[in-house]
Amino acid sequence: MFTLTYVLLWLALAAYVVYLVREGHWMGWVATGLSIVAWGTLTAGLVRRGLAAGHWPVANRYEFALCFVWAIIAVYLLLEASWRERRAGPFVLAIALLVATYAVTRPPADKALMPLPPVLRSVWLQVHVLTALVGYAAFAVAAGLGLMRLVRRNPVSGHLPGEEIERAMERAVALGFPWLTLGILTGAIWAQNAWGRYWGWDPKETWALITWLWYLLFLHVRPLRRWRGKRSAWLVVAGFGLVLFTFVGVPWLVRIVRLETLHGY
Amino acid sequence: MTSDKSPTPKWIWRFFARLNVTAVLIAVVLLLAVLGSFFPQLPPTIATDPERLARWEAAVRARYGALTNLLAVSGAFRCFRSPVFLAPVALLALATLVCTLDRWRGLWRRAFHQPVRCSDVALDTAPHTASLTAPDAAALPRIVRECLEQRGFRVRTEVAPTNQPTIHLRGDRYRLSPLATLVTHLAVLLLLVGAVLSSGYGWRERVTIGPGETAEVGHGSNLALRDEGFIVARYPDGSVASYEAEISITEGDREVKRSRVRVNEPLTYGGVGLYLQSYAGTEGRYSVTLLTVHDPGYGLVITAGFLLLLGLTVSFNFPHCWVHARIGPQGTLRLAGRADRRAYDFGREFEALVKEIGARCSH
Repeated sequence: MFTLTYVLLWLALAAYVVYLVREGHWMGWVATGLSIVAWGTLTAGLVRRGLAAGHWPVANRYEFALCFVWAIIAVYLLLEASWRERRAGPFVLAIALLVATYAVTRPPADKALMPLPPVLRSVWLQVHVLTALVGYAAFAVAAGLGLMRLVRRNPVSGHLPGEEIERAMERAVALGFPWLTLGILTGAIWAQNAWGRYWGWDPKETWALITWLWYLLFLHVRPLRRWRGKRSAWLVVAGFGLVLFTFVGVPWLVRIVRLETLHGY
Repeated sequence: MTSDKSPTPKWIWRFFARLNVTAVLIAVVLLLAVLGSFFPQLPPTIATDPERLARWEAAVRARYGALTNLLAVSGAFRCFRSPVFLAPVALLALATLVCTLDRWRGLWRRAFHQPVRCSDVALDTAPHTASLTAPDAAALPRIVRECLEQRGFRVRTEVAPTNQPTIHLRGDRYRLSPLATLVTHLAVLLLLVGAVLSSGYGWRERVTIGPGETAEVGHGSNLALRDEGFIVARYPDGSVASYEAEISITEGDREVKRSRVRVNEPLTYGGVGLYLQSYAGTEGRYSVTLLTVHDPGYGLVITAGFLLLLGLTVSFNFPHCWVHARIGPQGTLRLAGRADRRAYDFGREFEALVKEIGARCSH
């Protein structure tokens, strides 16, 4: 099922690129349709996996990556519907495919269904992971818009005004930031329940804070004139780099620098 | 603080009220957090336990070798408790406080004391303006009011007492939204106060007890814990599904509480929380390790976190928008619209409003 989603996402990306090059072409509808079908198959796959495992499919890095892709497509499709604009499609889908490629290339051991260890048997697992996911997905969409803003002079980006792209980008960050805050907050409540401390400067917690501070910085400098335009787009793209590092880079950092962490993934 | 006789505090005040100073402080805290994340941080529970501290130090020494002393002196292993990190955090808190005090009067006025009438300059310089003439001047105030109210605006009216009365209308939507900024800033300050309470007045200690054994909680609590039993549940593959300890708490000689403690389900009594950490032993005879915690800052931190969330949600999703309408005696209508920067679609909405008023006037 997930392989089918992956193939559909590539096809949707190709359709969006054709739509972008030949503006106003019916291929735009095909691209949106393929994205919706990909999202549908991913939803079905996640539900099936959840039923088979007996818990929400958010218990390891592989499942989180799949849910991440699901959330990026969902937030993007909502943006497309409300904005009535498809030209951001190739950029956002490229980001979704980056995460999807990470998921499908996981070794079989990571993909195997595993029973939940005692610490993950909590309602806060779902609440914490799902809230953080919405925030991450909104930041992914913002990064897609940021990439679009950065290549705006290029003919393939059409004629969408830079200011309009920036507004949409800021809107996506403004959507994601409260969700990331809620994700950190619910994580703190869970940590207090499980480990007796709400904050312990665990590498994962520290990088979640770093990501939060980065977007806080973006929201503070955004009204300043000299930080508009491509600079703000760079900030948003780099912010998503931090999101990815918090997700896949921190376990690597823990391993390389031999840090201690209580976080499973 | 801002008296003319002492120019330095005034300068300091203005300095900390600047947005780019706050941005620089956020960036400094962020960079220090990145640096700190590359080094193992000494947990407070280990710092107070000589045996575990020695083990932790030996592990760090084995990892960093000759660099260990240099890193220890530079504060790399206590980065988030070092003055180098805490100083910019304190300055950020100061900047937040100054910014809040600097802005509250203006934001309060914007929320509660906005005049209905609008000057010519304001009408001319608003980012969104329109004017039209209606054949039925008498119906115009009602039409404008209805169109605004349909869009969720709270409308106030004032009639200028002149020979040829001019009617002023002001519609506000989410007029209390500017106060959310104050809530957000206040929440950040409360969060830091909570963190100070947690680290300054809280304590954490590990207690290991065997079956039927009793251990004192200490810290002047007069509480003791007794291990009344322990159960491990396993999945069919043999891995641990859950484990729980039955713990009784005595205060003096009297048992005051008895309950099961599981991972994610702590037991609390008299401001002390018991968290099941681990177990050791063989089937039927397990000792359990509990973390006893007293954290007076936790409630404040979580409350502040939710206040922060409330402030952010309102600021980003319910931006203040307002529309001024001036209706002249000949049926001339001038409209001016302004909105918070985050009202992304206000321009489009203003156009739709003008269009609807025009259409209803011509019927």
